[in-house]
Amino acid sequence: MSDYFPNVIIVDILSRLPVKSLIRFRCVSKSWFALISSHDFNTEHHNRTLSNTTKDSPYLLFSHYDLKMKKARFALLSSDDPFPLKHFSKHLDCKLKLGVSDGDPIPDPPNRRILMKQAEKIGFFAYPSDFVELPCPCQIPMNKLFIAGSCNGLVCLADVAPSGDHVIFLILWNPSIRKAISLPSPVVNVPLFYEPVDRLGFGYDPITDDYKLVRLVYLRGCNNFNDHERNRPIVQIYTLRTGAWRTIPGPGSRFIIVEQFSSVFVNGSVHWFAEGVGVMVCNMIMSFDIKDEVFHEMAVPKCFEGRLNLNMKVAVLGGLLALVPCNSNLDFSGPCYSVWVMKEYGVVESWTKLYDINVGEGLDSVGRGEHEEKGKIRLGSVLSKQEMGNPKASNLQKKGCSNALQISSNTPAPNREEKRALDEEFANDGVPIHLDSDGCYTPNMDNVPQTVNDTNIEIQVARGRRLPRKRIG
Amino acid sequence: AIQSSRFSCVGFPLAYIFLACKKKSMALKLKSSDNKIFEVEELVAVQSETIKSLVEDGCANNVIPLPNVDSKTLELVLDWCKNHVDVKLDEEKLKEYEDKFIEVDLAVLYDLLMAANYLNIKDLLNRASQKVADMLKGKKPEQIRETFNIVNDFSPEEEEEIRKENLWAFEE
Repeated sequence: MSDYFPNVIIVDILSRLPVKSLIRFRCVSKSWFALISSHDFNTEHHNRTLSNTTKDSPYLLFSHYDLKMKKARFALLSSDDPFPLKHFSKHLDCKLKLGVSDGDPIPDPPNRRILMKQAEKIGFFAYPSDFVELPCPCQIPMNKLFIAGSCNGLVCLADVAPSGDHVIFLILWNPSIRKAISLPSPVVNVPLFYEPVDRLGFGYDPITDDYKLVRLVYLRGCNNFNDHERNRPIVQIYTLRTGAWRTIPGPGSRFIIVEQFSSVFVNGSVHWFAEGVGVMVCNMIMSFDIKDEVFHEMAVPKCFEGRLNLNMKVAVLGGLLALVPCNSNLDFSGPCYSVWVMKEYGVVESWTKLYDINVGEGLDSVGRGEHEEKGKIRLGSVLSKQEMGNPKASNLQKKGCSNALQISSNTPAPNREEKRALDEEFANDGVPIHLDSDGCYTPNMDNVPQTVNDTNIEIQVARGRRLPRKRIG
Repeated sequence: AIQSSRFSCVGFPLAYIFLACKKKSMALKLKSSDNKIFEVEELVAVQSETIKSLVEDGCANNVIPLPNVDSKTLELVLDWCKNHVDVKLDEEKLKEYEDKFIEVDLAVLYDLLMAANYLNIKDLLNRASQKVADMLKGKKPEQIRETFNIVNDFSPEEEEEIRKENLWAFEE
């Protein structure tokens, strides 16, 4: 190391450094390189970062589809950034005036179309703010690149290929070190007249120290011939350590997950909002235990159980499972989001409404419009814009919500290094890990054998066995 | 209820006397590497886990030699310990003290780190490590080598390779 400090102290000091410095310091010397790349060090760094929550405010990851460049763009924004305030007070000047001075002639309300056009023309991230735009983790232009899930600062991106063969492209991305690998595409044989619909979840299993991706494939009958078939998803699991997909028993057929890319990982499980199948409207949260690989059901607050068109999002707020329903107001004043949290995980009675966020008309049109129509500006951005209107909402922004992902600025390094270590392990063990040759991954991982070996997964209409453990009735 | 209140009445002065006795009776003698003797209260000294275990093992009756710590550093360390004995000390004041205490150059920090490591004083070690980390944060690899007296054992090609992998980390 150096004759200057003993190793213990060096490790202690380095584990307090931000990712960027560490990456730079790898070229100090061979021993520093070895140290910073080691698994032990990364665990240490990771743990310290986790325990040190007060020091750095987390980052939010925004994704946005650039119409002009026809590609997905990503940017980080510190949750301390006053962006929402700056940004929208400027564009919504008249809206604000409307609120304060009664004597003024009433200006036109901000025009949705103008706002939309502005967003299209200059791009979302061009708004005055401290966005740090990240290089897109995938070089080949993709149709759509969604944030499918995230945990420990690792982000799973998914793209449903434009082609008709229903292939899904998956990328694991660590934004803070700007490295990405693409995962092998799972294959499902789809029977004639059926179309697969994907639902994804991403999480971490601390016992095996492994990341897992779970994919549910619903088969939508083109002629709605057989509903039964459609409601029982095929479930596939990918584990980073094995680098392969396998099929596991699916959940029952009573509920289907509605939103395509809306899942959260909290308390060791991935959660989706699901709707009941059948005549009665019945909403539910479906969860998947990443460690045990079993599905559970969890009740939503009573008032949401039987309601339609909730536009519900699952979210994490301060480590708690949260629900964000969006209710359109009848008086056309724009939609209203409310935020609910489950104060005690698994206890239905502990669902508590924290607050309502009334979205002003103009505010909503950029956020939600984009969200709805182009599917790119995520709920998180919509919510964080509300800071000016609702001081309570600033909490939300701090913690990150739903798809605006919380990335603590230090957190991701260990993952990168952990992943590197993992990759090296794979290399040593001769276990193939699939890496695309599309320039998607960076040279750091290139000592891994590039075996392209798509796992061909036979269609197995999972027996709709009843849920193994039902937490909540 | 009566019983418990009686207990607390009796308990408090007892503990107080006990503490006071202990505080007064035990003074430890520490000897620095340059043979200076420091006389300190046990409560101050036992913030060092190293000294604490010596005391518990009954090895602290004579002078405790600390061959890895010079008198200049030991004085600083003991000052730190004195200010951390009284846990009731105003938090703000303590922070102020710590901030001022740690505002030293790297050579002194180095001595403090080494001493804190040897004497096993957690909070001092923590604070000093963080300070060094803050100092390193924005530095270039060359500056790190210089600061820590590290020889670059990479060939220019190897170093270039590593840099190229993560160019963004080298941007300002």
